[in-house]
Amino acid sequence: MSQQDKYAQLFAAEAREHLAEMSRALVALEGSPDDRESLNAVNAVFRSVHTIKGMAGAMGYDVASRLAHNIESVLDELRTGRRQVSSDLIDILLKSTDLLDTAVEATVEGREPPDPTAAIERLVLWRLAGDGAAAAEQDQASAPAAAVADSGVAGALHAAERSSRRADSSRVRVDIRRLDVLLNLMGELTIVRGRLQAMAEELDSEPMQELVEEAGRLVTEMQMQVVESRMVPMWQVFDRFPRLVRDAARTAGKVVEIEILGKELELDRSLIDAISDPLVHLLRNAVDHGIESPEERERAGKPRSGRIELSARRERSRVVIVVRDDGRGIDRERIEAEARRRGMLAGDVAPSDYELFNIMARPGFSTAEEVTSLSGRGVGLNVVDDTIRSLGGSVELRTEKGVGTTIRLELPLTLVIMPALIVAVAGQPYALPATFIRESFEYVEEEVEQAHGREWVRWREERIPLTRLQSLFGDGDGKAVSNGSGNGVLNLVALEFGGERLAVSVDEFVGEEEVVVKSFDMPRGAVPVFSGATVRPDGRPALVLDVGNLS
Amino acid sequence: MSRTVLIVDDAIFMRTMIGDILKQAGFEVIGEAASGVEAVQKYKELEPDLVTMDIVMPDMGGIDAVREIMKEDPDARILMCSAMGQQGLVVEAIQAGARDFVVKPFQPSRVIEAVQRLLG
Repeated sequence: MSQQDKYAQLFAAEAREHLAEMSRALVALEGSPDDRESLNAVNAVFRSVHTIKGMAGAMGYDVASRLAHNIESVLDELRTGRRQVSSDLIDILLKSTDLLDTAVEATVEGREPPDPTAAIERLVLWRLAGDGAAAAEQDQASAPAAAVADSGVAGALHAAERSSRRADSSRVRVDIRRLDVLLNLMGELTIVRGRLQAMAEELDSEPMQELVEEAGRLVTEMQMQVVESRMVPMWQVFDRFPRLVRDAARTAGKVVEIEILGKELELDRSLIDAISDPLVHLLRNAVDHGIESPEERERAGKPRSGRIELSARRERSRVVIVVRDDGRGIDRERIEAEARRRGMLAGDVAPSDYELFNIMARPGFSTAEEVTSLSGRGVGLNVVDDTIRSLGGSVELRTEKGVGTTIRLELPLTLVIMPALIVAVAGQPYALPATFIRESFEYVEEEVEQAHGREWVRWREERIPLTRLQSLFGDGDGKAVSNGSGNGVLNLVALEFGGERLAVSVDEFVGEEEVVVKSFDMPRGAVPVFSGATVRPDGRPALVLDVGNLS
Repeated sequence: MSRTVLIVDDAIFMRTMIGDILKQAGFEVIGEAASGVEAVQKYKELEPDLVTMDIVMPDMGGIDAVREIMKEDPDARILMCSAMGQQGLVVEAIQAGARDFVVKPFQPSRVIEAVQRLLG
């Protein structure tokens, strides 16, 4: 790679970061509650655009450099307090940032950047509109004239091509299926390693054993790396939402604040990709149909500005994403009336939240009085519902008239590393996810109680039900015998799931391991005792128990 | 023995470019810093012969960093790397103790000249 190429790549990677930061800070600027935060945001945008300007200048990227310079000049007016922020200005700055983005991408790919004249003119005009600054603008006003020359048909032709060819130079795009294949190969490798290990022991060669052990560590490490390479933080999708909500709100003539929580949470890449569109839809719905106009909110005694909260968190081995708005809530009567009119609802009982959601999630169902450019085209909730279901998740809706609507998405982590307790039952290993384990302990067989048609054990002053895994997976009843072969003591694990406690009996505790779980696609309706499988370091597969379904 | 340089700039791009220029001219880049705070800390730690200093950075800008470093070492040799239109700031930096400045986008020869002059 030539030095110039190296710089171009560094430039591209860093400029993209700063462009993202600019968008983020501009949206933050618009919503800043006080002067201090707003100054922080202005400074952040200023620093980023300044850096881009410097880098573009060093690379000789003229269009990007000039555009950045003009944005910087506007920011300088804000920074020094000569001018104030307005929504119109934020619009101008966001559009200029978009154009700068386009210019950077085009230049990096060796194409003609777009014509920045119009954008530069807008920026200059804004500054000219300020008092007393007119004279200083003369040089700027004449600059755009030269720029007309570097726009061209080629630039326009390439614009369409661009979105599909966008590539981040410091990263490589890998098809997720390749990572799947890689992960499966890692599994195979673990098995071979297990056999090698056995062979090394047979040969009784210490150097050989050491080598195999070393290889084993590397294999495990590699497996973790492959898994992690599939995990990306939620902010990769979440970070564009403030802008999206802002633009949607402006179009709809509403004032909306969005708060995002839990964006550091990491999710499997394929999941992140899949939830992006449903979330966009839910957010637009919230802005468009949920949040009222500022006037309507005032009449209802609410703050003028609506609020949307988007949060993500891990709950056990699931991811819960919640979109909550404080808008008008869903108009039950209207939906109910429409559903009755279409014969989708029998009887005269008002539908529950659950039924309401199911009605709204029917393909083509929409009660939007006017079709806006944003949502409400009847391709609404059913798409969201289908997508989330196809990922093995579920959607829940809570709505209260005048108070707001909450939509809760629950998703599995299709592929995840988790600490697990490996237990043996009837000679087979099983993995119990450590997150559900309260304690493993020994228990005297004779103290098992019978009540309500099942067995119970005492655990920490509490009576909890007992499930004998041996009777589920083995031939025997799992009773510990106190004769020559047994001491009459049970090996139990106390589990907790969703507030309920349960003890399971196993033959043996094997040990704790970090396991890579491959989830099963369980058919709906099947009793899922296992949530997935994992390949253990010795190459043997172990089934992962779905603790929620053991009781 | 080659002379040591600490490069301060919040952009990796700039640090790389300045680093390449200086390395090719035979200087040893012993450290990099991405903010004023980091620059002061690295200066104390590494005691470089020369610092190249960006002006606009998060976590303490270049001018305050110059002031802090001068407090630490009144003989520090600091070269400001400014962008066009920052003349006012350059003056301020020099008043704070910076020895010279180059203006971005810069010619490698100008940077080397300035560095050699400072270290000569």
